[in-house]
Amino acid sequence: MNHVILTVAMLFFTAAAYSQDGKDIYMKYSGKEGVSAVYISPSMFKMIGKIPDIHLTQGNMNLAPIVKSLDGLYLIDSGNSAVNADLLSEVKKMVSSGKFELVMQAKEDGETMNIYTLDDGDTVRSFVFCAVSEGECTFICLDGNIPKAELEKLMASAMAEQ
Amino acid sequence: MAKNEYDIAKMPLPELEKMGDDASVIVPADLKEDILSEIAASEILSEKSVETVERHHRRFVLGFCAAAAVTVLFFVMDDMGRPKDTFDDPLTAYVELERTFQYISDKMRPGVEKVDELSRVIEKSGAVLGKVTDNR
Amino acid sequence: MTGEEFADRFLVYSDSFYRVALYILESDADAKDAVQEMYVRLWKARDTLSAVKNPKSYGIVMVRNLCLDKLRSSSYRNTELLRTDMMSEETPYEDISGKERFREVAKAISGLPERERTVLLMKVFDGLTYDEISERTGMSNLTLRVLLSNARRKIRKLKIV
Repeated sequence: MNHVILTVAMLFFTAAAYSQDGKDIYMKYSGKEGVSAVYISPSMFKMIGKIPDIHLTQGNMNLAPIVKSLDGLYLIDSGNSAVNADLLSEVKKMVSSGKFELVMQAKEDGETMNIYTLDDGDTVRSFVFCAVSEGECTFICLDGNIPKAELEKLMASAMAEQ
Repeated sequence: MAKNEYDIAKMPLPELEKMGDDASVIVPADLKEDILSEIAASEILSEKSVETVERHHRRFVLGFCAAAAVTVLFFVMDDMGRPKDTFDDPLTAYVELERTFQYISDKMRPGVEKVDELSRVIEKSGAVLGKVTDNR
Repeated sequence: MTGEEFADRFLVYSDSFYRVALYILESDADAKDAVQEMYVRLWKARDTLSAVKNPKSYGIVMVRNLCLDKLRSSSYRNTELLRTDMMSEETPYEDISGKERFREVAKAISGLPERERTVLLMKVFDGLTYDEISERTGMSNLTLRVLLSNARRKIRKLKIV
């Protein structure tokens, strides 16, 4: 019996120590007060991919090549100070486990922004963005099989829009 | 003063829809007529053969079946323990995706600009140093 | 998609699209231009539009993007920055002279006598056969053929088709 309890306990702790992903973070915080949340599922991305693109793209920002490679978008935007510290800690836990790489960090006007990616060769499996400022915390996670070159092209064109 | 393109690009869809519904803005009386004339002109100039109503109807039915199949897939997936999609409509989801990328790139821009500036400074310094060492 | 379906799903929102275009472009003429261009594009791609769940939202996004293109191209002209991608962007018109030709034809159609115009639109836009038009209008097949022939002749007379 003790052996069974020990095994179950080990399994439980193993599960608890298993790395967080975007979905876990989204599920944990999406219903909280002062938090806005957006989730786009793989099915919805497929439906987006089916929208006839007569003139859907704005300027040079063409999302079409990216859309078909996305599995999920998880967005948490919190203005709840009680949530923010906890959310930030969960995000740090998420990017510390696994093979996330910090690709960019910027501090400006009291806001700290970090971008992490989980790469597999020339493919980005997960793109994580986190911005923290006084009273605000924004977490965005994009999962999929995103060709690195396409993502870079998209971000460059989006930055060129202004 | 002309509208700022960037602000318009970032405007959420519901805000644009509200603008479209503002009945106080008068619409030209001949708008629909002129639209039809333009469409007819495009047909005449492209010398497109007129398709039968039956062919149009068949395409519409096929399109509807494809859309229904995708909708069924969406509801089955929902039962597999995923969170529920925030939007019902793929177009609204698309606009939100666009805004998300725009937001991320806004946040990245100051950092990227600083790196570009730094690269230019380094390049200039390198050129100056090169001249100094060459002159020795 | 038939002309009727197109009208029910998309043309019905023309006022909303115009208002959005007017807000962005701040010019009645430019707004009307943008909306007309949008509808021509939509019409050309009508066979793909069944997948559009929300025609109103779809049209608003489209007209917004068309208006943004116009704003960008005029601000580029002002700063004397000619971007070849803007200049070569696909439009429903082949080139600038094609656009003029197009507008002349559209103007000619608007200027036709009502019966000729109605028959032309039913044939070209709704894709109806002569029998179907005859049923709807009460005019004989022969009358319809004459009206349509007159309409086309007047347009051809402008030496633009």
